[in-house]
Amino acid sequence: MKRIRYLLYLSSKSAWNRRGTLALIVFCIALSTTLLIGIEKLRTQIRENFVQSVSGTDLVVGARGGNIQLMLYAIFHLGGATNNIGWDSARQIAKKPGIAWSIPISLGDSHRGYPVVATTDDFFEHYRFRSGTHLELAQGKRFETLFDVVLGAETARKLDYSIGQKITLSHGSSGNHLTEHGDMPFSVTGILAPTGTPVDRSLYIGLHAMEAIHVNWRGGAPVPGLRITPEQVTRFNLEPKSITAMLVGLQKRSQVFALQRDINEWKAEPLMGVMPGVAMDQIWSTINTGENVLLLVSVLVTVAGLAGLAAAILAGLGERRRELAILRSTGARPLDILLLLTFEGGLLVIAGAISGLLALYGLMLAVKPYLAENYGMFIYLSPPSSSEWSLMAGICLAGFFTSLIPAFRAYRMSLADGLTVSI
Amino acid sequence: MKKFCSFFIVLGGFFVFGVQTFANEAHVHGVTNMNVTVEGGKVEIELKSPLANFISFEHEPETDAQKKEVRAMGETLRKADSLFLFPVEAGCKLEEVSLESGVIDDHLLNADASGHAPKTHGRHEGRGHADHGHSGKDEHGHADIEVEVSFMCRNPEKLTKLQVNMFSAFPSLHEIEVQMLTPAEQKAAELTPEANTITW
Repeated sequence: MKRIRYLLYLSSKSAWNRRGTLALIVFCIALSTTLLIGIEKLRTQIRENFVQSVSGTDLVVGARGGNIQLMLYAIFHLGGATNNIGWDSARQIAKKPGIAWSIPISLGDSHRGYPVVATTDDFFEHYRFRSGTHLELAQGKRFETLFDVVLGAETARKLDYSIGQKITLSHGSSGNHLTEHGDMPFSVTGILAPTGTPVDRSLYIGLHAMEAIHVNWRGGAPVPGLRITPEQVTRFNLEPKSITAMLVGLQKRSQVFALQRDINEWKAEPLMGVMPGVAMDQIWSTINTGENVLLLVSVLVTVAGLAGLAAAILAGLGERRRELAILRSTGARPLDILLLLTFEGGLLVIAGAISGLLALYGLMLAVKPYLAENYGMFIYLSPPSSSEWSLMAGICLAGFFTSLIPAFRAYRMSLADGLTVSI
Repeated sequence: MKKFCSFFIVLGGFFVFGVQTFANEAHVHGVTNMNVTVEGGKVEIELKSPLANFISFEHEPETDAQKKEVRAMGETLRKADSLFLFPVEAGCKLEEVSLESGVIDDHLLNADASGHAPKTHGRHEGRGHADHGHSGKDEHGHADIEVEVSFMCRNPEKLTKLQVNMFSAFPSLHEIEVQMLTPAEQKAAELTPEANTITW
């Protein structure tokens, strides 16, 4: 025991003497650790970010079709719906017993490429994301009058809009030649705080406003000669006839299967209820090959780091022949030489892994606000998960075994060389 | 990153458009839907499956051999605690099994091997019997069976895993699409004979 303590002392002393080179090795291992653990953290957090784009919603209701497709247009506002839900059905569902709240959503228009979502006050009240976080307004207030619009954080930032700005919406969702709803401009009344969800990239207006801007439209185009001013439009019946989708929250979560069954067997029209968590899992499972590739890359980086460790120690052996020979002459056994080098490798790897982890947390802390601000990506500092600990252990273990290679070589050398130092 | 993600979402969409939920009422032989609710110590499992996954026909049993087949199926399904395995530490106990099919007489379906009539199967308040029509024969002569199983577990906090052994009991079955409600989240899983365990 005393001998081992002494060897540890000796090996740290010797390492300190060569601190320049060894610092580089530690840096190399730290870098691989940062990458490996960082990618693992990012991987799990991207998944959570994605899967929790919507949370607290028990069921998403839309016209019958693919469940993934429904999620894509209702939550991500990608692609279009093949069919709508009649307003009557929507209201009947909303009034069913056991339903706590519902958010109607009407899509179809856009503003400079950003989707316009028509909804009600319930959206601000009940929409939640990332384990139940509520929406918050960064500036201004919710839409109140007919031609008010609330912007998502990214929409406002990218288009450089502020409260009071007048904007017009375009009919349709993509392409360069969209007809403008120029006769009925909206004014920005509020800007939402960043959420890291598709909400950031949208514009929100009232359901009635969506109806109002289409009052003088028939068959997808404005009726020629029929001009209605924003003042006149309020005299029309602005109750929507249909909506695109509806998000539903239940009083008791466990009733979701029963409600889903009811909706899927809806008599009046073909409807479908999709559990958002289930659909998100299904979407994620098809795209997670990407995440495995990421992990593979970081494993390769770690292997490269460890190869560097072995190479550096091996190269160092040449310079240390004399040192090792002196140790031998003062009574060190070949086994001691082996232990000495193994200790050195182990210390380097542990130092590298720990500083890599610390560097990762520092880095995350540093880029966190930047990512949230510019990319709507929310990362959070969490203590290493069990899989991250096992990756850390993996690095240390692999490093330890790698350092056995030069250690074993030195052991052989010290047997062969003995004290006959040849220069 | 956002753009990157959206790209993958769209890409993903192409692969999975065909995914059916429980209730699109798809009737695909070999595949069944399963809803699992875990709430406190209570676990409820609902399964609506084409009859053909469990027996060799999808109509009212006519011959003695067919009746025997139905009884054997009933017997296997009623031993739900060997089909659905939870961690031993969770201390789960089978509470109730109820079987229902529009084309098979309730008594035959719920009879044990000796031909005795069922004791109880009264969990169908509310929606239960309204569903009769749906497990009946459709216009292509297909029929379904609905299985409802409930477990009660003493240690809900150990309840983190479910192993489904239906594949070995019913060789025609090769895929189970699971919709799951855990205390924390909604979850999807696709079970196959090779991967028959859900963890949450």
